[in-house]
Amino acid sequence: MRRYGERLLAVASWVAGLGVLAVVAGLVAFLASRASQVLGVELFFGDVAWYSAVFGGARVLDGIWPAIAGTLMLVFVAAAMAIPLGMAAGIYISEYAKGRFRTWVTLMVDVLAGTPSIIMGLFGFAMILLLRETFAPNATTGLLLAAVCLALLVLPYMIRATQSALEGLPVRLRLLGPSLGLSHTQSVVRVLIPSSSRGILSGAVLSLGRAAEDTAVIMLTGAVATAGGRAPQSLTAKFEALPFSIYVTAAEHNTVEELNVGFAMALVLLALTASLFSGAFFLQRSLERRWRA
Amino acid sequence: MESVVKVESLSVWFGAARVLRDVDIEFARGELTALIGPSGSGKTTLLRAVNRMNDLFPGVRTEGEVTFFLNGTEVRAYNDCPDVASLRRTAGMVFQTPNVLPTSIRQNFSIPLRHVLGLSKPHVEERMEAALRDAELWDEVKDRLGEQAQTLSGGQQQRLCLARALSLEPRVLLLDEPTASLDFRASRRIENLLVRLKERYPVLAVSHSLGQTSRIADRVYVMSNGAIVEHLEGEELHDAERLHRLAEDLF
Repeated sequence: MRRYGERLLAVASWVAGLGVLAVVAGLVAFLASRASQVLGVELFFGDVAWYSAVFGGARVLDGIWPAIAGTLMLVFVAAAMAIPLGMAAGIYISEYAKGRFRTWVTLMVDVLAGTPSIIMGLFGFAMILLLRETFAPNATTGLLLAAVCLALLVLPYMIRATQSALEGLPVRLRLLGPSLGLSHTQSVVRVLIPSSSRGILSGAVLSLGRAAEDTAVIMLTGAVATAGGRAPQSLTAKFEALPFSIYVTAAEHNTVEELNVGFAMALVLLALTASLFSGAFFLQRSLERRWRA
Repeated sequence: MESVVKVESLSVWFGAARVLRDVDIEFARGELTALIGPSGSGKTTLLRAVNRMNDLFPGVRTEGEVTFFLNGTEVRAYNDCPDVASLRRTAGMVFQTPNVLPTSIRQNFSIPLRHVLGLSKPHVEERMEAALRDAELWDEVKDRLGEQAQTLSGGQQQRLCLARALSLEPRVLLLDEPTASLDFRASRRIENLLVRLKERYPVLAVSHSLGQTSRIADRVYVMSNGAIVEHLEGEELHDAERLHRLAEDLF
């Protein structure tokens, strides 16, 4: 009877694993089949030559390049704020904070993690209204505001991942640095953080993915359907971004071909996040190799 | 006897549990001092009290004093200790299971040597080689210093840990059952090494084996329930009948 149960559990685990694979493969296959009907250089740049769009600033009125560039810049600016800040906060909570204050900070991180993204978008929008009525009458929604709100949205993932990676280290590693005469901070920097870098990476990957796909935050803080056919020209400019463009296309398409462009954008967004993940992965591996060698 | 470290009326609590009760011991130059006793008797806590490693656990309280006598100066570990990190460096520590960094063999030396002592790269290499020779490991690893330390055998890893401790030029060695996880041959090898090293470094070692203790120790403190219950030295350590009785009482 017990053996039967064990076998059932093993089969169920296999089915669950294969199920995930099948769902992802099915999704990608569906997107690819719909996207393949429109996939080509024109999808990205319309009738403009790619180099003059990317390097010459030529307007792309009939392609998704501005949305790709917008998403990349958005994710980059948001990650540049959220990853270092989140790591620092995670390290602080795990290695330095004590007692009641630590409980409070942890609770606040939980609250932040539980905030829906639309609320984060509303917060950004309200902040601009407040700024306009007080000391910055020209303040407006744009790339920087959207990135700040996205950074707030992904911050708790980064904090949690860093904190649990550090707290999951074995006690023997925690004792090692001090036993050799390293100060607490030296032990944290030279031994504990490098040892937990894989867990920290998973937080960064989650943050990048979440920042790239979120629509609710950016639609209230500066994303537009068409931003003049160019990559964002400044941090305060309105911008196009893939998730918002997908949303607009899905809501307002007139022909099957237009909808297929939406599916193609979804596929591109997937590819984009996948390449951001691999970038983070290789960066972490090379840092880890340097520490280990 | 010329004491190098003196432990006086030391008591340690983990939360509400009192783990050490008014312990007084001392260990001296040229000697290997062993702590023996059943598990849970407080040996490791006493060892870790010497270099204040217990402080790293939450809810620990320590009373009493540990005094180091170094080149005519007295350094107190608890009451007005100027710098705990450098106190810990004074005492080289080896753990029960080999505690190598998950890095290359070389990096196991260069992380502490560069960041604790501030040595430059060529000096790190020099120190590393000298320490590895001291721990009789150099010939086995000299061609594979870039390899991961975890690929070494258990006995080699433990000698690496000993070498790493020696490379920091400690004044005393604190060893927590350094042969507990090793086979007979590897244990004997470390024992012989310790007999040689105790001439230069006073050694305080927790041991799990009475046989090993009588082979290599010069002084033995027997612990039970957080207190020292017996102190043996010199000829007493070779008194077979007394050891037999002790073994029956303890284990």
